[in-house]
Amino acid sequence: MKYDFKRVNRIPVRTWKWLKVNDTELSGKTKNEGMQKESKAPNILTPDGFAVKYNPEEKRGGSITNYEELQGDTELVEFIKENKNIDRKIRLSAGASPDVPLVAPVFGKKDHALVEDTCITAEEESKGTVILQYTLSAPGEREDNSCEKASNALYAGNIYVHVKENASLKIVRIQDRDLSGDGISNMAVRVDKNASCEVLLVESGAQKAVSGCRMDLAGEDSQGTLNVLYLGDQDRVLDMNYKMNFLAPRTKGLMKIKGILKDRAKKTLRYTLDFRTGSKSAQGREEESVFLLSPQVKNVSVPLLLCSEDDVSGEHALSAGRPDEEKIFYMMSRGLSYEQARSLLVEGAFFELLETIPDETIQKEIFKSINKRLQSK
Amino acid sequence: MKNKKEEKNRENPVLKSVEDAGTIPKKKTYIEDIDRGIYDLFEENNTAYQVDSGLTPEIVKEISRQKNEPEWMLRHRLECLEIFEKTPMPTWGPSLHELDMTQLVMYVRPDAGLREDWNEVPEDIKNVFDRLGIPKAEREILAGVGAQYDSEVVYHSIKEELLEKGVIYTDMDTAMREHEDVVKSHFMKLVGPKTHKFVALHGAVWSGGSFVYVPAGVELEHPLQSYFRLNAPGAGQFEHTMIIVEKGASLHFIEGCSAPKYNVLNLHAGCVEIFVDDDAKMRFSTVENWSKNMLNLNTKQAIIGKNSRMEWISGTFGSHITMLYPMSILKGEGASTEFTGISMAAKGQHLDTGTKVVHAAPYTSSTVQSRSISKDGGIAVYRSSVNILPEAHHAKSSVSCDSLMLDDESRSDTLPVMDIRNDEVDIGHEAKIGRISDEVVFYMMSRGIDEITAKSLLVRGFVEPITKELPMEYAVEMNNLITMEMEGSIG
Repeated sequence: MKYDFKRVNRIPVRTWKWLKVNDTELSGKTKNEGMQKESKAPNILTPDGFAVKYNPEEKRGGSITNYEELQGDTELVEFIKENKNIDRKIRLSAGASPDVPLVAPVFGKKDHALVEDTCITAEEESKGTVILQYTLSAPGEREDNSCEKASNALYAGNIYVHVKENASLKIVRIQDRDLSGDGISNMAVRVDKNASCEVLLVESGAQKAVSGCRMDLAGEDSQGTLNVLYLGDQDRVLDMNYKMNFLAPRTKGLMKIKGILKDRAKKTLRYTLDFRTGSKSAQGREEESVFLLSPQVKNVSVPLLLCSEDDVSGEHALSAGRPDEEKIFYMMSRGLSYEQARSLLVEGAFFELLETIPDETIQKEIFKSINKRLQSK
Repeated sequence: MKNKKEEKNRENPVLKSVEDAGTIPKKKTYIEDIDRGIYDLFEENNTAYQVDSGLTPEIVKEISRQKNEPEWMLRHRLECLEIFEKTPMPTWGPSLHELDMTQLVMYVRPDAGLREDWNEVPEDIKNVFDRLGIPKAEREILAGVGAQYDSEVVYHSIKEELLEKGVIYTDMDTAMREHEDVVKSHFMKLVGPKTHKFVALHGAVWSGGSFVYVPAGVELEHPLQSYFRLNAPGAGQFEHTMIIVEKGASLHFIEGCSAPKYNVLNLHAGCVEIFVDDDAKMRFSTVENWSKNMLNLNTKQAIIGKNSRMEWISGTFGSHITMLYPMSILKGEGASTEFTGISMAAKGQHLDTGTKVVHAAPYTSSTVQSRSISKDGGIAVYRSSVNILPEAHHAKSSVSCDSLMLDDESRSDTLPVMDIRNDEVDIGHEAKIGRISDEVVFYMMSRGIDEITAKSLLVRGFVEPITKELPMEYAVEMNNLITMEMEGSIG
């Protein structure tokens, strides 16, 4: 199966062509084993209140009324429509408030593509957490906490999320699956009146990772948080495009992005806050901090702030560079080596977001995986 | 100055403000359009010659013939024309669909030659510059003045003591005759014709502009100023400014520009090339007040040597569409640059401004501070790029851009890009958009300042980082360009 995405992750407002940030491309070849009827790992529970259906007969996009507008890059949508082998619908019932998260991993076959179309709906007044993990081994079963290598295995996915009135949903999506295949994904979220959605994306897999997320704060007083952790090492390429649209009054949004780049990694990150007319008293903030651990990295950041409403408050902040040398010096004076001190600082920055994952096993796995890759030469 | 309206409740404005906070819809801050007054006055019938409208090789040859140029310049013009015709329109930024090259006149020579004495400048043209305050500024604060009217420079002067030090400040035509080697070796070498489509256009039809050379070690205490006035309707102005600051020298150059408002489109596609040698300092200040029928597609670029400093001060108030991004290339170790800019976009205006910085050497630093105000449907865009090349270790960059929107008919976008190719750097960027806090206004009122004064102070404070960088007379002019009437809350 060939894939050839010519213009994906398109920036909301174009800028100078010579900067090469307006969009990206991704092409290659991969195997695809066909429709996967069910994907379930042993010992994975579906908490009360959640329902997971594979190959549902409902229309695509589920309950999202502006599905067509939310879906994003046409090329990716059409590719997934034709080639998907994971089609599932996850629903959190109205009023349900399970104490434990739904962990919905997808276990792919080595050297075979994962092409996913997932729809998640949190009905009114519900509250819960969904953890999506793409891996070649079950949680807790990884040997040596490293990612297995598979060749030419594409991951492509569209995830649609609808958080209905007064609901609260947290989604954790972990992409640390494969260090030699390509990955392209888009998440589209709609948050209704008085609802809130918190999304945490962990982007540390794939040789070339193309990741996008769009969150529409569509209802009055809705809130959204988009946190992203990314790790680029060796010759990996990361291309990310995250956007938060403020569509209604008194909406609040926060985007926090933390990253590490080392070796010869390359990264392009576009992140946008868009205050549309009518979003009176909206408040938004986007911030990125990235540690640069090698002189050969390429770090490109494009923090956009778009506004057509006067009664708003929007801000963004970006910092990039090495870990603070004075803090490293202090820790070395306490007996740590330079590498240990540096790792502690870097991991500490990551851990602020990692510890929000409500599954300690997964937290530790990711942490160890990142730690190992940071230490490797 | 417009009469101020009376406040509705003077008995207890603080309490009234608090009581009304949650009940009465907030009124909008109203800021007057810039008072164009003198800028919109125009003179008729002072054109000596103009080419036909449109852009053809014959017109380009005619411009060169009129200026009696050397052969290499004509060749250069024709090469640029070819590049212009092959280059597509930009796919980003404001739409330039209104631009019709067939309707524009590329060269208009006024009925005046180049003079060094204002008394010899034709009265009608002299009156224009008198009204703009140029001769007065020359007498009081400037070290030299260049005044361009339509496509040609009509007046140029420099203080005698600077001539004795070897400073050269003249128009570009004179420079091409008297310093041909220097002009040829620098002309469009920094801003090449392939930079973008309108640089190529400039290269084909340029006329006028200033040439400045400051020898090594010479520090000018007072600024030089060039003022560009486009009087003819439906015409283009394509002045070329070339500034060379040698080792250890320093210069402050001020550029002003304006045009009366017509119903037809005018085009400004000037070019500024600045070469700053080692251990030198250069400041380039611009207050732009083009009329709202003007497309302002100007290009400015500076290359900065070791331990040198380049400062851009930019105020953009006029034009229908502006696309302007002064660029600094920090080529020498320890070089630094600072960009301070303000733009105000009102009805019918789309101001797309910003800056570009390239850190191409170690220990370089850049600071960018930008403010914008948009109102009545105006569109203000901040667009920038900071590139840290692999060899630029220990580079530092700090970017700050704030936007103030006064209504929901307007628009404000911030589009910065940071491209970093070295890890031993210190990069920071921040931006804010929105309103001035009602709490701050309330606090000031609780200290006895009335509401109108409080808001006026806050908005003036918003532009203060820019105005304080200009020579005092120009700061006063900038404040006079913005007259303010406040009622209700700032939003």
